[in-house]
Amino acid sequence: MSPAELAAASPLIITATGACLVLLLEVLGFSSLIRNFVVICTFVLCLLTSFRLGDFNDVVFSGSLFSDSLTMIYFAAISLAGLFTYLISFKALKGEGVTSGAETDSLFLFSTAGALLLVSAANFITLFVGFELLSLSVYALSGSALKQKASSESAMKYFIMGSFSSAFLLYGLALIYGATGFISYAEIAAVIPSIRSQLIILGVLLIMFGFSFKVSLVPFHVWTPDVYQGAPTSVTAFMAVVVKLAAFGAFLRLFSYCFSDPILFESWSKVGWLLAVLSMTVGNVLAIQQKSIKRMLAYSSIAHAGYVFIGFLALGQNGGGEAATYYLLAYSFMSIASFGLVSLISNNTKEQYDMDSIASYRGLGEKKPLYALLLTIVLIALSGMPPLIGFIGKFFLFTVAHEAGYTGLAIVAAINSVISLYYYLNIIVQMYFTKDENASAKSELGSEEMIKQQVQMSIPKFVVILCTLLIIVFGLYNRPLYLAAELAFR
Amino acid sequence: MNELGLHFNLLISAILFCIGVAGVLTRKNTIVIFMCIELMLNAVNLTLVTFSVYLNNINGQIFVFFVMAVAAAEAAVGLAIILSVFRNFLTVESDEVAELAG
Repeated sequence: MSPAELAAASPLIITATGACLVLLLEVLGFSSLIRNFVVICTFVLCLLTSFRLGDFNDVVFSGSLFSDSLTMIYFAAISLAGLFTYLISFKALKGEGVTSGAETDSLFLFSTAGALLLVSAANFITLFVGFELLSLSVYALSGSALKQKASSESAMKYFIMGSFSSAFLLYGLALIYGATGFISYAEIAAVIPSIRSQLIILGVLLIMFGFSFKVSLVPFHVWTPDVYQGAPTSVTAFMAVVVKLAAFGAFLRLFSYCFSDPILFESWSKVGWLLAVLSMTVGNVLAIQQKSIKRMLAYSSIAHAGYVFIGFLALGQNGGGEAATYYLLAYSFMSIASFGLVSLISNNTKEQYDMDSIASYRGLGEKKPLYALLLTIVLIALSGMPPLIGFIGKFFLFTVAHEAGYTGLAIVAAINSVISLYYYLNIIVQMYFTKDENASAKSELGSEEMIKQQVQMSIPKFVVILCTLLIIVFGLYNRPLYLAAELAFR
Repeated sequence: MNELGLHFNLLISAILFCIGVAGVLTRKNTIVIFMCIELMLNAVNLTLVTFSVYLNNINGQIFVFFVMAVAAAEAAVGLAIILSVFRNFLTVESDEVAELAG
């Protein structure tokens, strides 16, 4: 094994081994503390080893894995996001009816391994296997609260919609294989300009269809609100961050490297334009009328996927890939923080019914000033107001859209950011300016139980505060994140 | 394989794929929907094998093995999910499994 091969494979080997080790530890009867430690170590090791990938610019394992700076940035982001969502899920999962610890731990790691494989894929077989490993683990994770009706329903919906879409993706891959005779990205990219076949266009559109499902672009978004609402909150965070990072990473690689032919671009860019406009508009408009905060965040994630997709229309010279990557990284921080806060707040109120209804955020500014403050910052960042991280991400995207000749798209996106202000600010208004009528009716926890809960919540709280701080810091000083995004497309 | 055989096989697999899609969109029973998804995957397998033989290139057939293995894993996860749905709702009809709505 050459150094490049070892570097490319080591994060994958580490996560897969960690996942198996966690299951083994459970069988041998080790305590859950050791298991948690192993999972955290796996994520940290994965993060550390992924930095070595950038030293090589290579395709390894006879053309099946990439080992370059794009994989490095996405590997680092995925393992960090995986670590953060895992830390948020600490103890919170149990409160949401997840009984099995070891299985969910190992599923977190397996899906991370799938995400890494998907991003580093350099041929269609690796792409498909990574896509399915990621998907299957997340289907199981979203149904991990076995006794909860909502959880198993969301798993079923996700499973049916997800495998339906991956069949389309697979058909697209098969058609492109048939038209070109190759399965590796490099060879396909080389022969596409000389083959003018309808099969290739059909294949590219089917692949777009499959990926749009995974990143929930309208009109392939119907599963998103139900699944995001029904799954345990930390699993929702995982879906919103890790799955999106991986799917968009592979999607970007495929379209910037494999299908970058300008004539081919002409044939899918109109569809892409429509996807971006529909996702932004439908996501933002439907988010307004939601009663549940998780559902609202689901619609907002659809809208954010639409913003990221703007970057696809300006791939190549215009810097669309960099802008999309920057926005994805920014969105990851905001998403982890927002879902983490939802998880913390609903775990603290101890009310099983309508835990995530927006009405239950009334008067939170008085009851939980810290959470209310953090949530305010995160929501403002999500709406894209300066000086926070979301503003600069949107600024880059709108600029590249304008430079690539999509001024209309940039205007639609700007109008949409204004619409999105309404529902983000609505929650802030609920927290600070609305009194909770039945405040006295709530059962207060005993002081001893309260202290116990405070200790258990300290790690998720730390993660959420860290993410919020990063949102502010990277908003004021965006150089590191921008350099990372630029490095990915060097 | 000649041109005619190629077109015939591709047409058959496209028809099978469309039957699968129609089944997923119209049927209500989760198990039947699941079978239709498997039908879609197998239609793609047929496409891959056809191209592989026509192009005289082994990659397509290797791909088919991976697809079959993944389909088996998908069946395991899918049936487990359907079982957990049945335990909670005592039905597998997709229109009766509707707790979540906004």
